[in-house]
Amino acid sequence: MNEQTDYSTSMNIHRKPLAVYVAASWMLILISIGLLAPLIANELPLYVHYKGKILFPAFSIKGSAEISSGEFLFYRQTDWKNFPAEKIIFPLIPYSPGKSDPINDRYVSPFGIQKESKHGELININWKNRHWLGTNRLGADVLSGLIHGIRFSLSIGIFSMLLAGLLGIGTGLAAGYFGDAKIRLSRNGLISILIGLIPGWFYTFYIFKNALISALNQSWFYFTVTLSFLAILFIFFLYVFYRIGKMMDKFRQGPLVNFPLDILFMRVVEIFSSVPKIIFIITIAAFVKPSVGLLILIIGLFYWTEIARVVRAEMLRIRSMPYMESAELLGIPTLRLLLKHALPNAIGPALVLLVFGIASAIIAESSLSFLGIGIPPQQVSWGTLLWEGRSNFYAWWLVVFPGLAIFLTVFSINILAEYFQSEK
Amino acid sequence: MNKYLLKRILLIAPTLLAIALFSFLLLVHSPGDPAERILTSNYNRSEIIGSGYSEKTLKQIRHQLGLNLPTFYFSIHSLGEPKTYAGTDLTKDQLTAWKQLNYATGNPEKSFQYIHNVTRLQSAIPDQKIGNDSELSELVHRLSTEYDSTRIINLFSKAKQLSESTYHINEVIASTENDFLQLYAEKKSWKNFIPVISFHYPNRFHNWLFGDNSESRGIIRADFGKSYLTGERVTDYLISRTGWSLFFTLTSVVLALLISIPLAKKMYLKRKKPFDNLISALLFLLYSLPGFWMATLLLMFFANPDILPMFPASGVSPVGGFNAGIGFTEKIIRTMPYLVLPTFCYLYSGVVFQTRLLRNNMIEESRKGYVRTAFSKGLKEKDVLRYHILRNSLLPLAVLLSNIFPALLGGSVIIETIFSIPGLGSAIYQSIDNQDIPVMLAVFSITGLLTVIGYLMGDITYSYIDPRIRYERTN
Repeated sequence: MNEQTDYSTSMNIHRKPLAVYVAASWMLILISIGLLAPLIANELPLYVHYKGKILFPAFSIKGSAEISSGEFLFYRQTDWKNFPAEKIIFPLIPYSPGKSDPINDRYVSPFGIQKESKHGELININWKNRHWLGTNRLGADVLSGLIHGIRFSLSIGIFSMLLAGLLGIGTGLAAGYFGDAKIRLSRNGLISILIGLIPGWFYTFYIFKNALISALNQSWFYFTVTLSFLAILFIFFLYVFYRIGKMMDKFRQGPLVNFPLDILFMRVVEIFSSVPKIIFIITIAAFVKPSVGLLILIIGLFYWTEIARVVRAEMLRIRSMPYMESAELLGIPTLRLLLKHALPNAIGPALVLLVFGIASAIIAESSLSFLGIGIPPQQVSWGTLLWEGRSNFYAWWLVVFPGLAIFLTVFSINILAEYFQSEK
Repeated sequence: MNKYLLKRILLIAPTLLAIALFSFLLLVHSPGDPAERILTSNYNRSEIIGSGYSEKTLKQIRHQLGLNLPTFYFSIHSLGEPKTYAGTDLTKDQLTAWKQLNYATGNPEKSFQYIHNVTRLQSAIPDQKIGNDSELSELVHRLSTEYDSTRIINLFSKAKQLSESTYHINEVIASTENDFLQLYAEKKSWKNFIPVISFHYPNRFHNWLFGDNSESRGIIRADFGKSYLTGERVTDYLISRTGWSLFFTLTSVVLALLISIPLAKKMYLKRKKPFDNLISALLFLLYSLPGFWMATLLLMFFANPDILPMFPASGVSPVGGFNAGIGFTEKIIRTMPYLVLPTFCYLYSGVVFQTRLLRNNMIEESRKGYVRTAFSKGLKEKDVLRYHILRNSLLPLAVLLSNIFPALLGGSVIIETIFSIPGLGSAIYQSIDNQDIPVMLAVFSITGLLTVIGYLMGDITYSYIDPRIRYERTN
């Protein structure tokens, strides 16, 4: 009974625990660094004044510029540190993530002797060009890798949870609201759908099989677009068949049948949750070309079941509440009912889970990069840096710093999520 | 309870079916040609006596693997296509040509006949390196994989020109060209827009699942085929590796329980006091640590010759094997240092999870009515904990423990790879390096099966412990 804190003064009535402030500021710092990463850690300078021309290589998309007739400057291949420019401004860390620095290669320690070449001579490195966290085997700067890795990890975390959230909340709301007995379809319509499955499948997926395969070989994006287009066509086909079947009801009223959405939903959720994530991802990654989109898709596909379960549980609780009943009786259309009346109340626990999910998505992504599975080969991420450190223990900076980055990020997200949970 | 049990068991059938279908889907679409993999793999050199790498041996292996059967029980295709494209021994290019001809003409039998004739034409032409005949044989070779009608007609006219000297070859070419023209004249490409469903009985899925009566005994009887890398049966390979995974799993679960229950009890008794807050914060910290980072750090500090060589860095037994004549206890003592670090890695996540769960459950239980009754009877807090609260808070834990197998199998991939432990997790990781499809799919299916069984056991345990579940009416 002595755990009440004194909130009597209005000044600190909104004061949150210190850890929450620290965690939130860490995340804000991380996000801002991540957004500005190409401007903070880049081998290309931000501003170059050369031969009377002003260039902004770090911002350029083309990657080259014409100085005078016949003289081209290819940004990625110029040695900017020895560049004879009138004025040159480098970003804070003048190294790109995967770019090797042959002078400082083979695991240079952050405290070790680092050298750079100034006009062909090897001298001790200027503090502006120093590798603050060491280098890896090829001489790529670790700090720059960490900074660009922020983008990679956070974007995978956020986008996969976006996918999981959309899927999970949508299906959870539907399954919770409609349950087993709410959707009633005409039996004639259902039979006609069964008949229409074969032609429907044939005229959408089979005929466009070549288009699908070529889209798959091109990129995940095209494939998803083509697939969704065909899926919509297929559903439309089935809908047409359903209407045709329902027209039979005009002649003789057939029975109405319950569509057990809830049972179907629980089965699907069970199927998705029955294979451990890593094993599934490993198996799929062996068959498909690795890419960022694949990772987002898979991590999202694994988390949506948790979200959906929680949203469904909340919906079951909300469904019998008076305001839902009265809204239904008022004749509010179902979609608006779900979105405007039910969703704001059902979403609380799901949001907490989503924030926890970002943390676990980051851990999943770094585990996969650590094992070298599912990510494109040239990608630099926290996990790949750690994997390099694993085989060479004296390169402790490759183990400590990326791991610390992952740990601090996940820790902050967990603190924030825990705080949300105790508040809501 | 039996009705509930029966219902639960019946309900896992669709999940198992889905896992089987998905594994089969992956098997069918696996990259690479299994026959070639097997033929060129190291272990096979001696088995194929005298034949070597040839089309014929490839076909033999394909027949053995059942690759010449249609894929599934039924297939939906258009009227202008044959029942199945499998079962014919055409090369990939010829198959493409046949498919394209079918799309164009809608007459699969005649197209096949035409392609067959063109292939036979190749054997009729003497094989020479220079001169007209070599150009002719090259033309015919291109003809067998060509499907564009204008190009085919061009090729035919050129071939007829070249073979004007030899009469009978010219005649055969002319008759084949006639076949083609007739085929094209009767083309009914509208047939491509009419769906048709056809059923195949001996098909790959059936043989994969139930086994054909000669080679494999099917997934049902736990025969997952032979590894592409070593040729041994996948089942034997996996059984030999399950031992270590199981050992670590069970040991870590038991040890975690032994640690977490007393810890949770202590935390509950001193709740909201510094001890509880400190340990909760520590547990929260440990929970956010990535597992592989912890493992790598441990290795770096405790297995490093430079820093603190307390434990060996990898493996589960000394590299050179044990000396002969060593006693059993001696072996166990010698092996133990290898096991400490991996067990710790498995352990700490289990301890964190269980302790937090137990402590939260205990605090929740302490708010219930029966606790107040117990206090009012005059029991001390320690005794209330021991006799009442502990039992009820252990309930959810018992259920979650049966779900622990899938989680541990997943986590074992990383830990086993880092510590080089010969277990199931590293088996699947190595099979990816070697592109060993049967092993991959076997681990996938086995973990799916174990997960489903784990959930079932969890449900059964819960319904056994908590009678309310049994007698609760559904809906």
